[in-house]
Amino acid sequence: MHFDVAFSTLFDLLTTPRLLFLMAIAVPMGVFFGSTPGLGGKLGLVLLIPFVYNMDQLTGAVFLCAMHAVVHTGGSIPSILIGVPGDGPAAATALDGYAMTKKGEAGRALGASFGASTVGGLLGAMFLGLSLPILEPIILNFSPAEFFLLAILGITFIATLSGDSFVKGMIVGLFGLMCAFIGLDPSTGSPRFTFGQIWLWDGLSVIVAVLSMFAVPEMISLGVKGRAYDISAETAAKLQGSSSSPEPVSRKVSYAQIFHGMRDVAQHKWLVLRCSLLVAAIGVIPGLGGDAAAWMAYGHTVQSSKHPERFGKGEVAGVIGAETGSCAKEAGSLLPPLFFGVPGSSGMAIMLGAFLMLGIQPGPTMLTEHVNIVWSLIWALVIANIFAVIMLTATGPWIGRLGTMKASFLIPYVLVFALLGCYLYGGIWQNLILVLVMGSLGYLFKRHDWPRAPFIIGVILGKIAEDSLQKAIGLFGASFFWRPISLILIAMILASVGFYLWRSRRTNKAVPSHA
Amino acid sequence: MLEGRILVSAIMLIAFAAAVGLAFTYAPEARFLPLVIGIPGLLFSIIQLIKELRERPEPVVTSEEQRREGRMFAWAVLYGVFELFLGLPLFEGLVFQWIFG
Repeated sequence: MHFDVAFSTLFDLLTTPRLLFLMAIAVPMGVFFGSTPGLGGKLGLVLLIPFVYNMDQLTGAVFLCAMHAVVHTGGSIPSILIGVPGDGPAAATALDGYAMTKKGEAGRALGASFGASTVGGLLGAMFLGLSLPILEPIILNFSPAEFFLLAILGITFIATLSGDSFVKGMIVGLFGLMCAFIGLDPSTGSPRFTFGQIWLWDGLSVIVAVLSMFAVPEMISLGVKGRAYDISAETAAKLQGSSSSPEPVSRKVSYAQIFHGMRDVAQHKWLVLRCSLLVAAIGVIPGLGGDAAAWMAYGHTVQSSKHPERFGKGEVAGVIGAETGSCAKEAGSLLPPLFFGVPGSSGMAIMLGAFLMLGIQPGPTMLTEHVNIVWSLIWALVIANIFAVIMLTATGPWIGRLGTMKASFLIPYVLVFALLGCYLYGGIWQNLILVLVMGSLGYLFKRHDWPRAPFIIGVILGKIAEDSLQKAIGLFGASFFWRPISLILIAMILASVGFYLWRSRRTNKAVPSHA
Repeated sequence: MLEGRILVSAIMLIAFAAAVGLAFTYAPEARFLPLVIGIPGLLFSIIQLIKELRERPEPVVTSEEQRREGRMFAWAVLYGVFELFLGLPLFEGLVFQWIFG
């Protein structure tokens, strides 16, 4: 265990005014992105990546990590106050949170949510820190051969991120991989897919890829729909009437109510501990993103309660369980991208892209040469969660206004930042044309239910896979497939694809196709 | 009129066909991975296009929605052209580079 590094990085973070200042900016930004329906953490990361481009590795990574750590905390605000979940995990919070608001307990629900997400975030970070000594010998045994197979494993997770259609997910993921080959071939130095354009020799930047696939389509979609959110019939039914309820709903929040909610968290300390550990471990498994983690924690809360009949009707334990789950998984989900280069979710794919852009190379070097960055990220999670709870508690009575902000007002600003971010990366004006063309394709993907996250995973993992394959062949020849760890990884790849196919077959049998 | 979902599948098919065709013109070492990825991509695109052609037509998009889509695209393209020709990115770039270092 790197105790010396762990504590020296904490000391460095706390005594470097620039880092503290950046974290203090990142936290309100994260809360803002999380609490404004229609924006969300992914878009927040996408928009901030261009601004960390010129920062050093540590500063940039800490800034992004601190912002991302509190997105779910912010996401609970509209879920509780207006019954509009900004994303999947927040829907679990909305079940009991909005019911509490309808009962006039909005402040208590917010207090419980702030307290639970902070404690969940802290316990999740502790879980990541304590798991490092266990993981160290495993990670250090990995060679380029295993990293090539891990990249392939990451690509098979495309299937789990593909929503309903495996074929669509594979097409988009493979298209992302093809885009990763744009530029000079690393072995021969000859240009590939550059169409005689010298500015493409360096390849397609991850910034351009993420901004085109997420920022531009989201904003076009917001402009077309004219509203930030779409609640499915199922969710609306779950929320028992949602915001269209004819009963007047009091959204008044007082400090007394917020502290009452926080006391509820202390009273449910064992539930918080159980949910945090369960979800932090689940967060490590790629493919089981935030949605699954929050609902699993909520499910555990209902199962372990003496009064399961109270859930969905404004039970504070429901808010505590769901919020602990949403935030505790953040730390665990950092583990696969940092050490194996495999993003477990679309948000982590964007984060991995940002790490690569900052020059942070995932793999064993994270434990040998850059362990300070790993510990700084763990502490950034801790500090960001503490900052968030202080800020949210202080502004509690007024914070509800964030959730009612019309996201469509932000369209011009987000688009300006997106285009600006593309230009700032290398100062290449041609990127502006690329982002508009690819952004239009991204909108078509969104409009016709094609998944977009596999594209980003493809762009990121394509380069890692090609580099690792060449190194593996150079070191071991074509026989690298027969190494014991390689065989385990091949089995995992086959199991991942097999599981997806089995699951979709079962779903198809259970639910007849509409087509 | 060509439906959007068919258009997306057709775009992907054309993109993969063009990429595979181009990859054949590269040196053997350079074309290995693009072909390993491009050929399955092409096959999946063909499957998807056939699937889309066989499916029932999707509900007609309202003219209001089409008008809004057109307006958003026009806005985005005009903004890009505006930035491109008036050199605005240079100004914004200098300001933000100064702020963020």
